[in-house]
Amino acid sequence: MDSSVSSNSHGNLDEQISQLMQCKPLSEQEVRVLCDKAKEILMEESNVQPVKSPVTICGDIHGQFHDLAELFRIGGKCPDTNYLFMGDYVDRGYYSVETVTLLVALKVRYPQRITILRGNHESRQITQVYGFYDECLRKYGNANVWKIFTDLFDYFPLTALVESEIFCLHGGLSPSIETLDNIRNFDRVQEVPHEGPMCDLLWSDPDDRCGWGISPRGAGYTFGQDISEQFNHTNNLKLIARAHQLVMEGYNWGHEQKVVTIFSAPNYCYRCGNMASILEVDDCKGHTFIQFEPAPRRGEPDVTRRTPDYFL
Amino acid sequence: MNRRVRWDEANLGEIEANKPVRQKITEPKTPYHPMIDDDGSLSPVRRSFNDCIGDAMDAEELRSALNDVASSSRKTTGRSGGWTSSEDEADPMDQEDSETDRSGMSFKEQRKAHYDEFLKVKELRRKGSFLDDEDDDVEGDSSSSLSSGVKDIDIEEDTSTLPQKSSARPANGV
Repeated sequence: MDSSVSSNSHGNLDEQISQLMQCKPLSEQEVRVLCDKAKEILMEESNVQPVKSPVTICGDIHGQFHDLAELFRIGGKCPDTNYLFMGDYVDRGYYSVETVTLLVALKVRYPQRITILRGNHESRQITQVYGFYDECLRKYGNANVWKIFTDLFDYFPLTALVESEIFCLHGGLSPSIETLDNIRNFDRVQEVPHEGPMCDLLWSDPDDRCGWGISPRGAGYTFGQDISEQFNHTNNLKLIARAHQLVMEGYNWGHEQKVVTIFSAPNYCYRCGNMASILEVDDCKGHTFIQFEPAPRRGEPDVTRRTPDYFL
Repeated sequence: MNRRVRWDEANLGEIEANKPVRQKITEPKTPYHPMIDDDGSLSPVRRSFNDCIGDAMDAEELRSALNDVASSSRKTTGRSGGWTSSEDEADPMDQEDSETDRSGMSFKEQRKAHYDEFLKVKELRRKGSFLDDEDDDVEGDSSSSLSSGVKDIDIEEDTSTLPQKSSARPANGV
């Protein structure tokens, strides 16, 4: 993959990455070129993208750029650390543009070192309601960058498989999917459908109740421990790692450790007061969760870490 | 008559006896942090005017966000304002996610309410407020057929249920 990118453009890309690390967006033209390269790389990836350990698995970011920077400080820089992100890079936070541009730039620069999956927010319609579209308009004066990115989102892989034993995806399981091969056979290059297996992978949630349930979200399903056990057994998996839901400690085991939720946006929406976490899987497949809080920022009021009750 | 202040001791005693359990207020952290540059060095340089403007906008958005969460949490916890009893004291968002305790359920309820993205988008789709409504006709679900042209019929009933789901699978309640 590296050979397709000349060393000159590496220099260029390295500059762009360091610019992005300072939370400064690229120009529209730069975004266009970057996303063209990213598309070539992503279209070669599988719907169940194989990933080797060691790797650090991360959940929702939601445009909280400075917390992503903190994540890299804590987890190690890419490419020193390999990363697997499970979607929801955009919306809700104020820096969706910088966040998603940085992750895509890292993907283009180090295609073997970082895997970026699709979340339910990597979608045209959701981003028109939850911030990314408006942010693009505000920062670029038109919707071109939004269009470029949402077109690219269609190529993001839906799931990943770490060392054949940890199945990673944004949402959860689907009643229409029994095996990983079922997923491998989708044509994923499309907007996230409103229903069906591809939709379920990005929208479902684990639940305390057994079996399949109707999701209160209106999309995807809820699935019980019996479903997770069956799926892991059928596919020789040890664990399903997923994101998609706020959990106060940044990670949350479910279904007797058959499922774990990882959430990497600390103080989500700048007000939830939650911890964030990432999961390090080492070469021996050992697991370590690292929790983190928002990094204090120079000169910025810390009003929202906990909402004091006298605000209410 | 004595001109000195006379306290209504009986009233004070009664207030003392009946005062509610006081709520502990945790001080928010100080808004100031050491001036540390991105390269890790200490720097006395103030931020530029534009940065401050940006923050002012953020502050405005934050304020409205805080007001939102304030009103929504009043709704969900049934708070009437003023001091709360010790039982209500804990912020539900601070609680462990545990199915057994009452506040934990309240966290789950709040989270569930927060994740209404699909339903909101579906509603907007119904009103035809999206750019690029491509593929809608291909999906063949109820919402897309509604969005493609039929406008003034009574569609409230359809949106309050999930017709494409309810008949499809056995559900264990929701």
